[in-house]
Amino acid sequence: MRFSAYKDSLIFGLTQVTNYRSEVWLTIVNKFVYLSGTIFLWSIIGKSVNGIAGVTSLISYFLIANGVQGLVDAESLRFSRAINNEVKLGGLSAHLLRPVNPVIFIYSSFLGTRGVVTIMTLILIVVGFAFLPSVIPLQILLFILSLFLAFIVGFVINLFVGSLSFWTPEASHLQNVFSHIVRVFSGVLIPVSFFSGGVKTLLLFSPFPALAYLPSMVMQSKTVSVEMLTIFLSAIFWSALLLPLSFWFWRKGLKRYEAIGI
Amino acid sequence: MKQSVFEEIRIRWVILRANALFSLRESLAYSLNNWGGLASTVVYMLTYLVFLSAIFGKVKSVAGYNYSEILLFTLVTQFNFYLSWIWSIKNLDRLGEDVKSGKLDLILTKPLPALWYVTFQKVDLFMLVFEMWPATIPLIYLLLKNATFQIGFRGLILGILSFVVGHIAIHCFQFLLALVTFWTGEYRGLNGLGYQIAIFGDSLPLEAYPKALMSMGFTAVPFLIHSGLTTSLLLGKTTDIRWLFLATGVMLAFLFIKNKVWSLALRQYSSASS
Repeated sequence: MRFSAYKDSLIFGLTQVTNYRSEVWLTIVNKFVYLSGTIFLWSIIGKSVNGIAGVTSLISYFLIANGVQGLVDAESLRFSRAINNEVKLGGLSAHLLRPVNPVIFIYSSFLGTRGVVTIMTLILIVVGFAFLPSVIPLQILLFILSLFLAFIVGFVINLFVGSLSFWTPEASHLQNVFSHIVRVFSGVLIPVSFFSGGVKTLLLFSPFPALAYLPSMVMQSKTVSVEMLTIFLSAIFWSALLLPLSFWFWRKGLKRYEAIGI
Repeated sequence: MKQSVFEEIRIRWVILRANALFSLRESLAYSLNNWGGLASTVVYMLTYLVFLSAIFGKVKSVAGYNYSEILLFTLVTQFNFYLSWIWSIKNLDRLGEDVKSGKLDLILTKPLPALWYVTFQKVDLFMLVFEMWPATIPLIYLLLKNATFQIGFRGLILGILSFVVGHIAIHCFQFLLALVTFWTGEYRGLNGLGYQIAIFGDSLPLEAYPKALMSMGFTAVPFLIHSGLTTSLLLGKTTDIRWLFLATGVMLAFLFIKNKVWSLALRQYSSASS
């Protein structure tokens, strides 16, 4: 019963978005313009930096990084916006009356609306793979593992930021704040290797590189470096810590919602 | 009786002032949202400065621009970004929403210059005072601390002119894209694309672009004037005044096209409504 409810919610979301086909195409063109700009920027910077990989490697890095970040919804934190809307407009009340887990139900519906974006990000990743000279099975294995970790970290950040809506319904700007932080420190705009000293060390131990830098880096290198291992272990640590914490935060917010009926 | 030019200007000034005051009242009514907006823009600025310092930790210059020159370029792009949000982008979204919901009827039935009204429906003075300046303080501080260039009087005047001309040209381009809403009924994707194109030239200085892209960025899709040409003129890297003449010509052409397509769009709107 529950599974079919989540499935229906997902299909409903997908139907909603496919009604606006021109919007879907424009979103794809928009993303293409954005990526062209990023790749152009880095092709210019790449000319000035000694030891930086070639242009094809840069293209591959940014395509995979952007693809993964979009796939796990760490780009604009849209799931947190979906939660914000449910809380702000009162739609959450209806979900609470149903015999379903509201977080999973909202997420299923949200996933449906992401159908086209998901396909687009998968294409980005595949094209990014095509720019790689060769790939070994270990890289694919590590990529799948890093993608899984990126998904958990992305989900956790979204749930945390979305749950802030219980305290301040006008949380859209807070979502922007987190979105800016994620954009710079996840490696989607600038590879983490460009940072130096304490900042880089701090970043390696943070959950952010797991969202884009790690999946993209594992595809660029055929060996597991200390840096990669550090990010892997950090991501596992943060996922194990933050996943239950984010649900606790959600429940705490929910109590407030039920008590005062925001 | 035909209105005099002065009367037309007076009406437009009254509309602009009334819309700005109403927008200010609207902004002040949602104070928490304003603080959130300020936090968002400050964090964006700080993260962008971190991004720049990370890049310039590895390279000495990008497209011939050193760190301080890139900071000036960033300042110009930031001014353009805020000005766009103060008077242009929100109005494009509002126009799209009004077309979709049919609320545009209310504007068209008023005895007002409709194009002027929809262009300046919201003028967010709050953002100008409480977001733009506080958010750019860290950038201005770094710029003053690291400045290694001098801006001459000629460069300053040409730079300001280029900024204004480029800003109007790219607004017209975005407005034209937004007008497609009259035919398609959807505006979010179009406005998003217009915005993405408008900021395409904001990550690299003018000198980085290949000739083909530069020709496009100065004519059909004027994304290189408001930031790229402006900074280049300010720093004296571009001294040929003909670029500014070209930019002015492009702006005038876009203003003309904006007027014409607006009339076409209104015709489409009334025929679709009936």
